[in-house]
Amino acid sequence: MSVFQKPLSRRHVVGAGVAATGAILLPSMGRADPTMDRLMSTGTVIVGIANEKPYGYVETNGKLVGAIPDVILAALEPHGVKDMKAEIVEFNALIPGINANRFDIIGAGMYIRPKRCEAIAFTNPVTRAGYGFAVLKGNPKGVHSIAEVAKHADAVVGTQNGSAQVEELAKAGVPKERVVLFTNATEALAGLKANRCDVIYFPGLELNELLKTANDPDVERVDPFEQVMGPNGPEYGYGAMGLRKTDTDLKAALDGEIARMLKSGKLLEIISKYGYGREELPTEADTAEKLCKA
Amino acid sequence: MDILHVPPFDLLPQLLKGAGVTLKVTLITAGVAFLLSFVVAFARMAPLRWVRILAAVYVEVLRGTSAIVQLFYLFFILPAFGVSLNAMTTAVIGLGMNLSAYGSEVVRSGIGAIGEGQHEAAKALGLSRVQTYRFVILPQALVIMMPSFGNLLIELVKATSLVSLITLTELTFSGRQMVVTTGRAFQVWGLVLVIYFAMAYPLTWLVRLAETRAARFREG
Repeated sequence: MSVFQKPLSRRHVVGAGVAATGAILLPSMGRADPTMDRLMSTGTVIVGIANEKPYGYVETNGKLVGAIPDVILAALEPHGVKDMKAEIVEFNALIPGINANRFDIIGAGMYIRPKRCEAIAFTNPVTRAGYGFAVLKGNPKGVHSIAEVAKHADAVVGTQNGSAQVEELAKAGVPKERVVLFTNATEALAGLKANRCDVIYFPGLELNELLKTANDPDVERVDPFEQVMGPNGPEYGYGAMGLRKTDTDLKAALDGEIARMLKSGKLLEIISKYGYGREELPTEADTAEKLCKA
Repeated sequence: MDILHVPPFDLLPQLLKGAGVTLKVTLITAGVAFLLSFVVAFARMAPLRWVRILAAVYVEVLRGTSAIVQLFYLFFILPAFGVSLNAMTTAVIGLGMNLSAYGSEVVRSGIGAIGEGQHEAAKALGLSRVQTYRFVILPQALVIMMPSFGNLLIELVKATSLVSLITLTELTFSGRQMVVTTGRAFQVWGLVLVIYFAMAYPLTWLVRLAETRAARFREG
């Protein structure tokens, strides 16, 4: 009698279960961190990005650039890594992507957030930045902070799906019906121009790059803009590299180089190419561990 | 002056690269889906009950769930179970299986449209079951199926934009990337529309050609 005519026996089910568990556990056994080993032996790192300026994006000639990929390459060069390959995915596919081994490092300028820390590990931050609004010329709704949007009768705010901003808007009390989620900043800008929303809310540097690239006289940044205030001053977003939780050696190597580059001024030198300034540098006290708890 | 340096044509090289990926995914998937459609349709008409049930479940599950979620599952969840397919393979398998669920119904309705008399006549002539399908039923049924398959094929050209989720830079995704790098949304999306049409329209001619070829026996 062939297997196909018999109903699945308990042995089959248990066997399949053992095989599946083995497939999940085996790669993580043996050496502590196979990713670091592979990076050092092949000299190539695969970086997952969402193709966003200025964090990580691909130029028209196909070259991977951006503040985060540049920091990754500088940090891994001492460990023998010479090449970066980009995997471009949508922002909300970055975390599933790294956990499915589709790439080694998330180099998309993702902010360290307690919820994300449940799924992935972060290096210590390499950037620290506030947020901003962009509006149609003249700021028709006259809003200068997300608190004002929350209080406003009908102002609709657009931002990026899966981003830290969504959480902040909810915390500030902006009702869900007045938040429109876009795939990325360029689509949010198109939405703003098409009156799908009245204001778009993004990290300040991303807005700068967006408006510079779009070069559109009908759109402007809101100035002055009031940052969300926490107990210890403005609530910044801390951008870091995302890693698999099992890649502890890679995290140690990156954290070591980040600390060195932060001290030597190399970090500022790299990220200043992309519009970051001294005030966008994190301090040594801003560790991933601390920010994951915040 | 080189035409590729005049806006909006400077966008073309990257967009055409994306169009190439779209075309590749479309053609391979179409082949896979076409074959699978027949396999599934025949499975639904199989004499064994459990084969029929299995095929029915396949069709209903794949038609009844969203293709983008299926792709997400294949690409991001399956590796956790030790099955890691590359992006192109995932795209072809995911879209191919999804499309074959619809295609199998096209096949089934095509075959069902051939009257019982044809089966009886074939039997009277002493043809075997396989011969009956090979020489009598399928040649007539194919003519009926062709327009619906053509519809599905054109649908597929555009459904390939879903594979941007799984890291493949096809036409829509390369358009989106070009908007990020250049900010020229109007020009980029205009060109993307034109390129899609330029790919889909010739396919309608191809399908018409296939229709004529399938109906050739009627002249003879």
